[in-house]
Amino acid sequence: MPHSKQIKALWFLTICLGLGFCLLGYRLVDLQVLRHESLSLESNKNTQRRIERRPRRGNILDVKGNLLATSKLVRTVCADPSIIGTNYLAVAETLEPVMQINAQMLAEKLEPRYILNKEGQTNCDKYVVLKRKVDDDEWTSITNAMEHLIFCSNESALSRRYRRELNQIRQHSLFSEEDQLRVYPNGSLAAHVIGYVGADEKTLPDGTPDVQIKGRDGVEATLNTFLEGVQGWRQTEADRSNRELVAYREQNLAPRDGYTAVLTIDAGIQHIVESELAVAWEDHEPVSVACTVVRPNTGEILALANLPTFDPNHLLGSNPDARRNRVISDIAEPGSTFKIVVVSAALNENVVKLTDMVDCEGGMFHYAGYTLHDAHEKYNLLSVENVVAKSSNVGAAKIGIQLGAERLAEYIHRFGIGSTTGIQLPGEVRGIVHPLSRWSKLSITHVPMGHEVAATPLQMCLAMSAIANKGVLMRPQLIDHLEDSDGKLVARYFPQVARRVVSERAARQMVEALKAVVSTNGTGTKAQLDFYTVAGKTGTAQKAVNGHYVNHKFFSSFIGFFPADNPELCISVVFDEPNWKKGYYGSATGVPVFKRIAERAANYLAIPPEIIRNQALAATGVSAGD
Amino acid sequence: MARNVKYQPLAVRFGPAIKAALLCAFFASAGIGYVWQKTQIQHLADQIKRLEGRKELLGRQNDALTRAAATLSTPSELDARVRKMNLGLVRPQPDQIIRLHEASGESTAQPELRLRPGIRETVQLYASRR
Repeated sequence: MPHSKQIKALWFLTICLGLGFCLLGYRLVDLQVLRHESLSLESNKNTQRRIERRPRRGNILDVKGNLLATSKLVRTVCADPSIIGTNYLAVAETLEPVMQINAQMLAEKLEPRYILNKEGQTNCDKYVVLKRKVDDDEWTSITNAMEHLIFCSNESALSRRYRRELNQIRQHSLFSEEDQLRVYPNGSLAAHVIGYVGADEKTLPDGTPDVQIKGRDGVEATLNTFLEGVQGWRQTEADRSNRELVAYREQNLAPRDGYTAVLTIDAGIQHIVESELAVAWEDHEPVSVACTVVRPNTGEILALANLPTFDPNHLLGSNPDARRNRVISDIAEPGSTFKIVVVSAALNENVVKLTDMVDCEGGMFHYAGYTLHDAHEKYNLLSVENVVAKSSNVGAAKIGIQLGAERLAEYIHRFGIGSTTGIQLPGEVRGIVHPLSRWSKLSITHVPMGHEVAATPLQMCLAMSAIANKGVLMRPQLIDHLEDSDGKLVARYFPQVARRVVSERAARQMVEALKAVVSTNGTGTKAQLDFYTVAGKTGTAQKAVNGHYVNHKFFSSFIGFFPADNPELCISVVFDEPNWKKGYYGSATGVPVFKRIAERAANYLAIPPEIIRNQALAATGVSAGD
Repeated sequence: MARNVKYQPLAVRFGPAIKAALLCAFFASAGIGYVWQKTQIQHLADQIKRLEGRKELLGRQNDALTRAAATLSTPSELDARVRKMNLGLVRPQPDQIIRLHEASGESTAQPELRLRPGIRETVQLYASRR
């Protein structure tokens, strides 16, 4: 029989155990039921991770598939000062040679900063960015340097706990985040078309900065939504060292990389244009020189170049003025190239014929109390064709008067002057065309020779292309198609007709007049090519500053196309303020550049030689139309 | 005939023993299966992680090579190489190019020549230039 004392002890033990179980039960209910939500959140915060998966920004290719812009995967080096603690000076000194950042600057970033939160608790800053756009090799050097970081000569003498802390610093104090660097393998080639990117920085709800690449100019900006892609994410868990536990991965949505944009630009033609502009820059010392090469039949832009230019790989060192795409953002009085508008309008309206004679009054025409002069020579009677060929201001003014202000204004708009062309680039301006109500009595004589209107070089090039294209104005096309990262076609851009400007007959007559410009008695004789007939127009306009024309400051240009009767290319060359001592007329500046570009471009594109082909076909008895 | 009582208890104990053994085997195999499955998941997770790392590395290498190829094939680089190597390479003049026309429609060539349409024109073009 058990002793009563033993029974008491048994009861006591039972009660103690019961109480213990009750306490444990209460604790269990407290943790699992009463504080479930807050503790569950805390637990999830410790283990669960949502990793944003950045898409790769799409490439930009030229029409032949040459890479113009691409993205390089790089890293942003970050540090956790709470792990580094008081050892920040040693870490900064170790990182200085590999990161090439001053140790003092690094130490300032790595020094722990304590922040008082809303609950009155002191938290150490756990995230600082040390360096952006670090490539893989540099990151490997950084991690190697950290692994071999020596804090003191005899570390084994330190306490175990302290040694563990130092190892934590070596292994976990620095980490990297994925980032992208935009790379332009061709440097400054087609820089004004491709544009450049910038960083769009914002702070995420958890306080960490988020930097995203955004297109700032050029195609990078226009096609930003297509190029940037769609972000993916991964819902997963991580261990204590923040390493992902793949087995606990719940959601994993891959990002959709940005589309590849294939432009109509041909890197070969672009290089030819830029190298010739560089020669012209040396020869004429202008403030700027710009060139556009267009296929008149489709409006495709094969090359678009400006000097001065910039290298989008080194944007910080570039001059903002050099980044301006003058072909679409600068306007100027076009000068004599504008005569194509008035003469083709007059031909279209049957106001004149090419053979009609115009009295150029010996190069001085008195009208509304103002005397208009011819720039080149003094002419008396000139045919309409020769008015264009000799670029007579008096002749053009008289044709303008015959046409009338209303019809002239209508044709100016039809040719696209005064409205944007619709090129797929940001920052295009409309030019200046005054409403008819604001025209003075003199305007009808000034506008035909390219005064009192302002147009962009692209507008004038497209107006010339319309004449080359049998009177049909095309919208400029810069993007050929978009494809995904596997090379599958996503969208194709087709040539678009803007409108018919003049009839085919009037355009054909105008081409004949423009051929005369490049003949032996025209202003653009030097534009003649060995294997092709050329049609074109020279232009020279005095520069206006603060409403007054300035001596020795000119815009000079030449816009031409070839082969004249079946045009493949229309090339516009525009000089802003060429050195007047070295020649400032379009015939002296733009024409030689046009000729060199045309010869090299025809050679590069293997455009069939017109003259030889006709001779050969005549020999074989086959008609030239096939 | 009376039953042999001597062997009765053994016959009674055999059934539950088999059942117990089967139950044990079931729990043991379930346990082993669970552990095996967990090991497999971990193994596959490690494999996924390793392959993802490899894929990323190869992607980066591919990107680097593409960039290098693009840089080496830029027009300015090619021009510089031609100049540096002094190969005397120039583009042919338009009249030095012989064009072979694609065959189109019905042949106009003489049958006895046994040439595809278009070839004759090229031959004549070449002959006339010589």
